[in-house]
Amino acid sequence: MKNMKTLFLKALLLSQALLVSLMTVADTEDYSSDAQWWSPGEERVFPQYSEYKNTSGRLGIINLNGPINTAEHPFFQALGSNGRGCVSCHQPSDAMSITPETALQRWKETNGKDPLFAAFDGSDCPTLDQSKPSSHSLLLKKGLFRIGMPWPPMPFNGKPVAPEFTIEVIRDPTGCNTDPVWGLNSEKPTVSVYRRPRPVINVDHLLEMPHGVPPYNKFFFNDSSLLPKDPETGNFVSQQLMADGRGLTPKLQALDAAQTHLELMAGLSKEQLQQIEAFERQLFAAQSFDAVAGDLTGDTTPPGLGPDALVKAPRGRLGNNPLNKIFGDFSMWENAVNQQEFKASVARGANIFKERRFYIKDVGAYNDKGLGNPFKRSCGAGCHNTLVMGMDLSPGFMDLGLNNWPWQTTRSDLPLFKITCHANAKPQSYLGRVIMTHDPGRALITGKCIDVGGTMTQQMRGLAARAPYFAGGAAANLRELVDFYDRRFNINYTEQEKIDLVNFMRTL
Amino acid sequence: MRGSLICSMFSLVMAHIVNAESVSFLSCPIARDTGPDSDVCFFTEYQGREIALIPRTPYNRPELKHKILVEGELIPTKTVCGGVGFKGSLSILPELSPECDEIRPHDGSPAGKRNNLFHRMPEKHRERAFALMERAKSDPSASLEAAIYDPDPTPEPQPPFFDQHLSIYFSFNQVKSSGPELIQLLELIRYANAANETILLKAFQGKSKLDSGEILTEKPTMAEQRAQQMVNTLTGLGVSSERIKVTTIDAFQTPSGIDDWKQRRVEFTLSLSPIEENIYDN
Repeated sequence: MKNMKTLFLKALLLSQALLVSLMTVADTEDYSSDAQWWSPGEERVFPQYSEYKNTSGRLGIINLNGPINTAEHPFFQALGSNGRGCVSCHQPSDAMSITPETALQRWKETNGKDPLFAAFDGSDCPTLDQSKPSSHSLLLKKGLFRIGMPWPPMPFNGKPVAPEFTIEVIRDPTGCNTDPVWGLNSEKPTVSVYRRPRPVINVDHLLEMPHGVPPYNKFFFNDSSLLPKDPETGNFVSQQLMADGRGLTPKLQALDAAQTHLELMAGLSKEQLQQIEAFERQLFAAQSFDAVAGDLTGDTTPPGLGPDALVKAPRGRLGNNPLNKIFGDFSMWENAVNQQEFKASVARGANIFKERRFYIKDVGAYNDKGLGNPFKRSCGAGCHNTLVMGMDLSPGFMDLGLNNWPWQTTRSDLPLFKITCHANAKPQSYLGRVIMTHDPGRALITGKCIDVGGTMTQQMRGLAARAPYFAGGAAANLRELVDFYDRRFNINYTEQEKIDLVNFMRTL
Repeated sequence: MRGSLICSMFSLVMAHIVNAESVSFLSCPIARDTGPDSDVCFFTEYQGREIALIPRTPYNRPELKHKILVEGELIPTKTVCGGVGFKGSLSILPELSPECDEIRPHDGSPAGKRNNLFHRMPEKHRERAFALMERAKSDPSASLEAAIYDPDPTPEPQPPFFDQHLSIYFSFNQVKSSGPELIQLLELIRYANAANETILLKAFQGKSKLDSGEILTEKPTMAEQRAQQMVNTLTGLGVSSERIKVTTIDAFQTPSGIDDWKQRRVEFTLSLSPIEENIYDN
């Protein structure tokens, strides 16, 4: 009986995949900014398949279970007291995240009146003059929203945590952390950090518990404590949804977002939460067309490219093996010549990503989880090992050096905090007990010194549609992203290797 | 015939005893590059010798920028990472030691082996993975099929049930357990649930005597922390707290410099016998 059910599900998936592959893009060829922007509350049809233009080509989104009338769907409704809906910050054209270019376009079109620029988190600080673009500089330049984290830390279970460290504001360019109403010393002590919205695509992959890596489908690799559980089902959760792991499930994330980003104090109904989760789980997206390589779908392209690969591929699998190669086999493009040189470059990039080892060294909450310091691996065999997705399968929060000094010293636009760990706490493994950071990351949830700067690795799909990269928007484009890794880990990529990696990632 | 066999076995045991050299010391780990397609390995220098730093369990590897407590036996007949073989416990000390930061470049020896996850899989899974690789030569879409699977489930424990015992060992001042030991613990829990047995949990903390005579003492709360972590694990995995009996041993045994790391443990016992109160001295 179970086999019959599995067969039926497989048949259903195949028929849906076939339907998608047969669909044309004729009805989605309007790439004007009006067509690209989805306003909350407007009635449109979110189709079963759609494409959106970006600088490298087009992003394809499969809405697996069929078209949705947005007027009837809580993801698209303007539920927030500030006029926002989920879609405000999760735009289809931006791989269900939002880019600074889109925000800037919206500012120009609405003179800054769009709910996207809500004072609460769409500005650098609510107390600033909201009519000025400069008050929204982090959103307009880096696509960052203000995240106000309670101090002391208060995880989602509502039980306050006694932090192992003190936090001090050293620099406050937005003014929010020293603000008498919104700051660390206010009546409601808050630490303001600034982060990119994570893309709401391929969520079904993010939610799957890891397979084949026992016992880490039940335990944190980092400290061998049990993974948290979904309070609704009692099942362990993957922790892959959010940068700091605070929203354990799509429903809890939606609740958190409703109460903060939408300023909807009443929250969301059970039905609304179910609809939002179902919608998020049925979106599969990847770059579908590249301006140079052409169509990224079908039998003549590597199987891991295009959104259909996300529908078909098994969830929650280690891809760092000789068969899967993280994003599948690219050999069909290896010997492309002449005008096909770009494809050969993509294939080389895939190989560098999978094979080129370097010393992964001094990464807090990573090298210290037993891997050793250094750990000599490639990008794909190290932290980006999940089949067709590229995040870390055994959920890993890590301090890559994007939040903490000395690796990140160029962010004069972000607040700077001094963390001082208590003498009896386990120190951050490679920075010790005094840490300068722009975002304490996971430590604002756990209160642990070893977690300062820790951020969950991200999926790598739809990259061309959603620059800038990293949680704080540190890399403006894919080249800056590669340069960061090259500098941080002293890899010494050649210029050609860097070009190949960029070309590879833009096709994902 | 029988006599000579016993003699041979005795000789082997004696040779082991003679060859085994216990060590207990603190030092800086050194990483050695083993080639472009393989990971680094770790060794340390101690009393004029290079000693391989081989973790007792996977994923407890040394870290540069941290000193390491090495406790165990040298195996002179074995060369690993260019150093004398070692068997025992490695503990990474949490405080920073910036001076421990040396990577020796690859000089051709030892040559590392390329890590292949397929080689760690059960044979049945490995055969399936190799078949998929063969298929992928003509059908690239096979490269997206699952190669790594969950282990096949083991049969549910059946009566008659017997007493069970498991010890989990810890690094100095640590509560983290290794993956293989957690898998053993999961099996123990399955057994306890099937037998509806009570789990007796006894947590210890320890002291280590170094070869220099110095004695390192764990934090006085380590036994309690270990017990708490394990109780959280058991209850989080569905064992009701009524079926867990906990004893923490705060008293330190006198360290001898030999196998002191074995003091740092939690013992689990499943007993079919009725539980007596204060079964362990505290």
